[in-house]
Formats: sequence, C-alpha cells, structure tokens
Amino acid sequence: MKNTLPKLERLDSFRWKIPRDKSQGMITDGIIYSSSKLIDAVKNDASINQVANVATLPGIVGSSLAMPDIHWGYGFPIGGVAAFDVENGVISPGGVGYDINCGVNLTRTNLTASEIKSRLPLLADSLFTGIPCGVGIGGDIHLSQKESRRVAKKGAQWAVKNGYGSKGDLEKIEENGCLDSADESVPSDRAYERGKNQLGTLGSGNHFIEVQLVEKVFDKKAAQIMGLEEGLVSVMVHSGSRGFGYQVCDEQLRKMGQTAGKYNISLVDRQLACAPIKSPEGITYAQAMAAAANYAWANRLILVHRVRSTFEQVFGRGYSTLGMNLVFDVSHNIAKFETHLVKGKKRKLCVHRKGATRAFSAGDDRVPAPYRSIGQPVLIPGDMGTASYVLTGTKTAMEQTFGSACHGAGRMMSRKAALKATRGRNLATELEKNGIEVRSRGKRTLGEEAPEAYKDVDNVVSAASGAGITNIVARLKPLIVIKG
Amino acid sequence: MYRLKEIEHTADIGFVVSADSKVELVHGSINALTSIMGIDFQSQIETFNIKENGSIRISGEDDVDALIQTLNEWLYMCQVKRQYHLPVEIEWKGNIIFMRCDVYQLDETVKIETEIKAITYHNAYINSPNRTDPEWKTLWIADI
Repeated sequence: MKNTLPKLERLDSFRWKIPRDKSQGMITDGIIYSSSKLIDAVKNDASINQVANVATLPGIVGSSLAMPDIHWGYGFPIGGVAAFDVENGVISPGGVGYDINCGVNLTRTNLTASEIKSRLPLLADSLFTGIPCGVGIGGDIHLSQKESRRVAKKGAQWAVKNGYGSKGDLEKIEENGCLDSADESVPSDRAYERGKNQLGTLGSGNHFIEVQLVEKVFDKKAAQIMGLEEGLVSVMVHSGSRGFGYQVCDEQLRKMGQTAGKYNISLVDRQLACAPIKSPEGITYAQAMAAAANYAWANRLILVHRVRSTFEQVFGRGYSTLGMNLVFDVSHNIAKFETHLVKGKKRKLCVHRKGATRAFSAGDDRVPAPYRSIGQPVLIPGDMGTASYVLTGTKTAMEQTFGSACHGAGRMMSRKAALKATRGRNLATELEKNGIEVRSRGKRTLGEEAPEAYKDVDNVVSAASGAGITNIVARLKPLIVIKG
Repeated sequence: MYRLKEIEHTADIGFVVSADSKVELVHGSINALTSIMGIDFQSQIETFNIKENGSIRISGEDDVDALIQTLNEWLYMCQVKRQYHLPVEIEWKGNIIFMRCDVYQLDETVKIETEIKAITYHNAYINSPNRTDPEWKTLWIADI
C-alpha cells in the first residue's frame, strides 16, 4: 500500500469505510470504528494504511476492522481485528505482535476508598517493592527448562497448581488460561532463556498495576454479577508474555518472511509475513504462539497472587476476607480459532486481535458461566491520570466485529512528543495532587506514558458503545499507579 | 559518518539513519539503539567490567533482512546477555553482515531505561545513494 491516505467514507456516526481498492491489492473493505471526536487523530498517522494493508491478506473474511483506539503499530494497526478462513486463509505473527497475549485482568475487593485512604502511600510502596517491575528486573521464580516447558503447556493451570491462585480463578480467564494447542517443544532454547526468571514480573513500558476506585456503575446487574460496586476498590494488572513471547514472535516472523514466496503470498508490508493456516509454517506458529499465550496467562495470574499477598500484608487480613476475587482476565494480542456466523453460515475462522479484546455477547456458550447472562467482561485501561472501564460484549459485536472491541485508550502522541510535552513538569506530583500515588522504575516512563499521550478514554468507550459493540458497566478511577 | 533522525511514530520508536557508506548504517543503527535504551555507553565505558573479542554474523534474505536480523541479534546480546558488542570492524558482503566486536559485560550499575522488544520490518528500507540523495539511508522501527 502506498503511503498516501486511503479514501475514507463515513458510514454512520461511528463507522468509516475504506472502500476496497483492487489496484492496491485489497481483497475487501476496511472498516474503522471511531467517532467525529477521534477520527482526526487517526488521519494523522499511518494506521489507516495499515487497515488497508491487512485487507490484502489471503483468505480474509468480512472486512479488515479497526476499533476506536486504533493507532499506528507495525504490520496490523493497534486496534486491528481480522478473521481468516481456516481452509484458505493465513495466520500472521504481525497480527498478534511481539508481546503475545499481552492482556489485562481485574481483581475486585471489599475495601472502600475511605478504608485504604490513609494507607495509600504504604500500599503503593509495598506493591512497588513487592512486585518485580522494570527493564531487566527478574523475579524470584527460578524454573528448570523442564518446568518452564510445563508453564508453556499449561499456562494459568500451572500457576494454580503451584500455589499462585485458585481453581476458581481459572474460570475467570479467557480459555481458562490455557490454549491446549500449545506445543511447548516449538519455542527455541533462546525463547526459554529470554523468559527465564521473568515469570511473575510486570515488565516496563505501558505495563502497569493500578489500584482503582469503582467511581460509577452504569449497568447495575452486570456490575453486581462481577462484584463491582460504587466506592469499592479494585486492582488492574496489565502485562504479557515478556521476553518469551518476543522471541517466539521474532523467530516465527523471520521464518514466515522467508516462506511467503513459497505460497505465492505477496506482502505489502514485510511485518505482515504470514503462512496458510494449514501449512507446516502456519501450524508451527499457532503452536508456538499458544505456548507464549500460556506463559502470559501464568504470568498475569502470578502477578495477581503477588497483589493479593501485598494487600494481605498491608491490611492484615487474608485475601478471601478482603474479597479479592478475579473479575476477569482478557487477552488483547492473540489469534484464536473461533466459529462465527458469517452471512448466516457458521464458519471456523482464525481471528487475529492485535490491541483488541474479545467481546462475546450474553448467551454465547464460550463466555464463562458466571458471565453468560451479561456477556464477556471487556477491560479497557485508560491513561494513568484519567480512568479505566469495564464493559461487556454485545450481539452487535458478534454480528459486526467477530465479537471484538477496543483494548485501551490508544496512544495519540509519540513517545518523543510526550517527553517533549512533559519536559520540566513533575508528573508524579501532578498526579498526587489528583489523589493518585505513582511509583515508577524508569526515569522516562512517566513522561512517555503521560495522560495527554493517550486518547480520551471516555471518547473511545463512547465510540465503542455508540457503535453498539459494547455495553458500559463501570468507570474506574486510578488511586495507585505502579509502572516499570 | 552517519546522522540519526528519530521519526514520529505513535506507538513505538523509529529512526532514519543516513550515512556515507552501507556499513555506517550499522554503526549508526547500533548507536540509535543505545540511545533508545538510555545507555550512556561513551561515558560509562571505563566502568564496564570485562573486555573480550566477539563477533556477530548474520546471513539475511536481502539487505533489509540482514540489517534487521543483525540489530535483533545485537539487542539479544545487550538486553539478555548484557553484553555490549561495540563493532570495531563491519563487513557487509551480499546479504551477509559480519561484525567483529569488542564485547563489554554490562554490570549492575548499567541500567537499561527502555526495553526494546524487537526491531520490526514495518516500513523498513535501505536506499543506496542516487542522483537526488547522495547518502545511504535506512529506516527501521523498534517495538517498545
């Protein structure tokens, strides 16, 4: 795709179409979910071209989609969703990303804001020192090669078996925290080496732990089922598969780049390297990706365990007494094999969600039993100074987006621009004045992750709910932010 | 000689490296990576522990692939092995890049501020000098 901006046609208040351009190799249209408040930001980067690029990939079913938090990534745009027919479609590491199964989970508590107010600084310090975070900071879980492979095979189930969580947690994780298709023998020794000592660590960049206040409930029934009430405290964790996933992606992407020609796949962007789903290369990638996804689920559940332990120490009560139940854990960088209704026919598809969240509707039997009456919880972290949201999936999402929605606020500013905009300011102090305790390992992290670097999460969530692909359940306000 | 220019990228960090020669693109790219990671190599070099000889040899599908793979290998050495490979000689023949390096073991005092997941192929190019531009140029984007 050339670097000229593809044509954009407004379909309705919340959808824009990139019409199929055969001269650019597009097989289908692109559809961007956005709003008049958000669409201009999209026009300022290359993400629209990326939506069009994805539309050139073989076997794509329906349109190349982008969610309201769309922004420029590599290969797929961030916020990109694309489904491919399992018989004649492709699977692409560029549609998943390096941080395979990066995702978010939310834990509720019985604690009120007033109960934790006086202990906020202590809680922030305890979380910051008790949970390994930052670049190159290893954890205290040292596994043999054999045990690391078990993590890659069993995912969150490994974590529970080894005391980092309970069986009840598993049903609150997509796929129960384990893709059975994982083949732990596929990732290289180097991948295991990169993931060594990183299990149970947060990482850096935009990964975080936030203690949040349930500020407003919009859907009382759904909130009640999730255990969320106005005035109660919750904890959100954002992390992924760490170095293990990066290495898996790097190696598989390189292999697919070398074999694209073998399958007569013409790539408009090398980062979209892909292989037919049923080819040896496609199968191998899916197995390796699943292993990395399992590692990520184990990692996030161990982080929840550490959060619970820290709360126990600070409040002197057991985590069950504190009501610290996992609400849900979502994946937002993953490709999954799912059956969807397409033009009235059931089709098995490989749905890539890169910076997008699964948002299955109420009544879908793939939604865990506790939430089947309300739809899958969709967790939307915003910037560290504003808010995060809890949403649920809808029937419209099932009909239009392969049951997908946005994954966050979405960056609006480059890291360089964010650092420039915040030069000379003390962001930690600014946030503290707004009642938010911040602890950060990296000197540049706070500047790069400044609130103004992101789109307004209220606008993003309004666009998603306006389009009908999500329902709004609750808005969460940050009280403590822990950054790597 | 080379020049570095950071490009505006919404999610990640990209650089355009301009140089007098192809091998200078590698030198420039490694310095750009050092800058992204926030390692002040020049001022800290005396404090680094062990110096030994090492090398990185990459055979790519083409020029771009060779460069991206070389940078990813260099990153692995730096971030995972904590070995800073300072190239003292670079050969680039066909699609093969060979770097002979002084290898410095980074001790605990050397902090990497920003982790780079990988160098991506997205929009990556290498341009040879031409009538309108007398320099070698490459662009790559690092996933942060």
